[in-house]
Amino acid sequence: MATPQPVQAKCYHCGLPIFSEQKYDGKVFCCSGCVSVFQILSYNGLENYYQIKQSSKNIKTPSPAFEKQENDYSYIEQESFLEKFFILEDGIYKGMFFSKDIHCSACAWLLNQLPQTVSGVEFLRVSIENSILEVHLKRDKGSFRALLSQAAKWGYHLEPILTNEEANKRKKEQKKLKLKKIAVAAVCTGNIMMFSVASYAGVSGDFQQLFLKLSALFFIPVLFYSSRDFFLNTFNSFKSKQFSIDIPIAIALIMGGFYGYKNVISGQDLHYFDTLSVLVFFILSSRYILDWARDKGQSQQELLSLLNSSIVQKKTETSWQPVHSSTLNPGDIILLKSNEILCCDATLQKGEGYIDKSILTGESLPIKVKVGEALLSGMKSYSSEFEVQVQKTPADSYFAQMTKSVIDQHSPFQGLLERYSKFLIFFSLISALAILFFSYPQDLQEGQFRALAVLIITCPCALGLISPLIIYNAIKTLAQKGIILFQTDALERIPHVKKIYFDKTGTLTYGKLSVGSWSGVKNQEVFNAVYSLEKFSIHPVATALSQYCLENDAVEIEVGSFQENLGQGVQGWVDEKFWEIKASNLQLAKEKEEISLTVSIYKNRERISTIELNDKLREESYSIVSKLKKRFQIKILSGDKKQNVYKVGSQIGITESDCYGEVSPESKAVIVSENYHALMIGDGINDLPAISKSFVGIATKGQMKNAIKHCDIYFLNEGIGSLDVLINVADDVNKQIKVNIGFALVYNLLGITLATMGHITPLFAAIFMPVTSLVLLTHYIYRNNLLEKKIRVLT
Amino acid sequence: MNILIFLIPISILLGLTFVALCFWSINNEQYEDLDLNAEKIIFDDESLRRLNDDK
Repeated sequence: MATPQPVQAKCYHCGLPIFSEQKYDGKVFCCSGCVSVFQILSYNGLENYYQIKQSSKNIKTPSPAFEKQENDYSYIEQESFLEKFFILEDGIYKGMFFSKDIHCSACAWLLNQLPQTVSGVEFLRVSIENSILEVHLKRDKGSFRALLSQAAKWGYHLEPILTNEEANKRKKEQKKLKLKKIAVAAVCTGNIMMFSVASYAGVSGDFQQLFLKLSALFFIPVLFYSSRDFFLNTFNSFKSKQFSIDIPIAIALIMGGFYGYKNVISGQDLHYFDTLSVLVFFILSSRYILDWARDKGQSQQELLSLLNSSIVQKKTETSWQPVHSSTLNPGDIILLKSNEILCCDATLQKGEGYIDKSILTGESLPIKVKVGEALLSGMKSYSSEFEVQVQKTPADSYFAQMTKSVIDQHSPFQGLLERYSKFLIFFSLISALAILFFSYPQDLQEGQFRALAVLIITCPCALGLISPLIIYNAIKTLAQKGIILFQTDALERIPHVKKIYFDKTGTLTYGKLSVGSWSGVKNQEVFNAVYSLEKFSIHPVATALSQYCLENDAVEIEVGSFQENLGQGVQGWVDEKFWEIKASNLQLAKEKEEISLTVSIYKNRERISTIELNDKLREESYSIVSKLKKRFQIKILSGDKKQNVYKVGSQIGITESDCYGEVSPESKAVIVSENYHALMIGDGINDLPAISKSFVGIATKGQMKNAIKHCDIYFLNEGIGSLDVLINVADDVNKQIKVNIGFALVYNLLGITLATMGHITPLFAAIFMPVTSLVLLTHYIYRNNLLEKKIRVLT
Repeated sequence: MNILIFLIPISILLGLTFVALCFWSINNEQYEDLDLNAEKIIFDDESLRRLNDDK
């Protein structure tokens, strides 16, 4: 039912829709930043960027319009910083950088041109998958500062990241080894299959014997190289007395290998080499895909937590110097700019103004601070600049302690898949033993053969291959929509959720004061006057008012005899009229504990309009909540005043009994953990204990990058808009898994029955297994197309 | 059927070549970033070739 919209022009550089057009060289751009990037690129003869960009698919959504960043990268030249972030080897610095701006192969191409313009670059590699740039730089010839500045000119803000070289290397080696095992299994399987088909087709005589021996030969690397992990895991699971999916595979391999080689020596053409090697190949591949999907989530998690570090201005004897926050020491004096979050615990040295502590407590109104007061990390300057003295470094700060003290305590959960696999393993082992027992002693030869057939036919091969694919695909789909999945099993948990707990400030609302309603006179004259008067005030109300007027095209006019009465309002002469803006009913408002502040405007001592300010509800909150209400119990948990919580609740249709106000972080956690199937979604550090103790914990983009470690799912966008997509995808994944398990149940039961009765020959098993995998794969592709359509409608 | 005496060694040889090539490409870190390597082929630019030669 979308109304047809006129085709909107797209920026030549960044491809985002244009709101205020800028023309250059016959092309249209969205902002001057994009124009200047285009200029720089064409000046350096790098227009190829646009050709490559057109032919490349976008792997990630580009970040919003390029902001012209005036970055000072001088901090990177400091010895203490270089030492901490880069590895020095043979006069070459090795470093890793992260940039959220790397999103397609054109970006990679452009960054690959860096060595042309910056000297001293030894080695450079871009990874789009993780948005990482790896650089080796000659110590005496190159400069990181030049490199970063050049990249910034092209629109890539690079941030140095700390890496664990050892762990990365080990991980890489393991990944390589796994791939090699798969390759060996693939080649051997292909050859064994070729010889098997000939045998099944009825080859006889010398060639039969030759093929048999060749199959046996090709099975050796599968058994001793590719399958090593199965044996190791089985051994370990026996040691720790736990059930593992590898047990039946290992038993089947040992039995099948022993049985097959025995037959080969005695010259009999009866073996399971082909089926077993297919099995090994399938299971190894599926595990690799799953690892890959998991890895993707983890590396992002690592990065985002590192991104928390920032550049601050440190006071030196003569001036301010930009330094990286990780190199700060207690006693240093730093500058806290307006709208900046404090990275360490500090005391206020100089400056006066308001501090927003909603990240820590959930309180929606900023508070006033004085010189000498202690500030905690995570607090945000509202509109003025402060000089503060560092008391505790970022690593020891309140914020860091708070995130460290949270221990993950999600309720234990076993997915359907896991339960089914365990049941299946148990069942197949029991049946195999039973067959052996009943065939003893007369038919032991035949009994062994049947038991082996049972083990092979029940291996969760098709299921094991498709399920990682389903989950991998879900992770990819979600990532494109700005949802990062840290705990893969969270997807299986979501359909079991009964209650959803929302945080209020920052999650349901924008988390900052803005103009709610404006009654009375509302025209350009008033806007101009209010803007001119409030522009100089640092009071949160003033900031909200002047912002609102600016959005309504207010112009600044000279103000005569301006006067600000703190906590009361401002007054002055504008355009030969006397204007007053007063906080009215302040007394009344306090008694009712209402958040919404009311401000009145007086023109020549006569009240002309009244403005109500509040923390506005996000646009999507109402529609999303009313959609979810049909299925879940919705509750609000907030650290803010009760009245405010009730008010937001009534706006989105939640009764007062379901709104909890004035809840401390600890009691939030208690409430959430007492309700077994609860989903908690929030953005502040005060939600963290609750998120980590909930059944499903979701953090939305806000000020707690540091806290990402403790949530299951992270939304890269602010607000709860992604929740709908997430629930849809999770439902779909579960439906697919259920269908697959249903199918597996049927074919496993059939397989066990047939195998027990002795109807399964090696030929039958060799055909049966790939066919079942194919059926499941077809179903997977079909469901996937359906899901993609559904998501497209949603967003 | 005598042709098989010729074909079987070839198939084995092909298999071994495949494994060798695959091991080489894995060690060469060609599977590190699948998104980029899939499209790298269109970067047939002088400068890039020079960059790759340097490595």
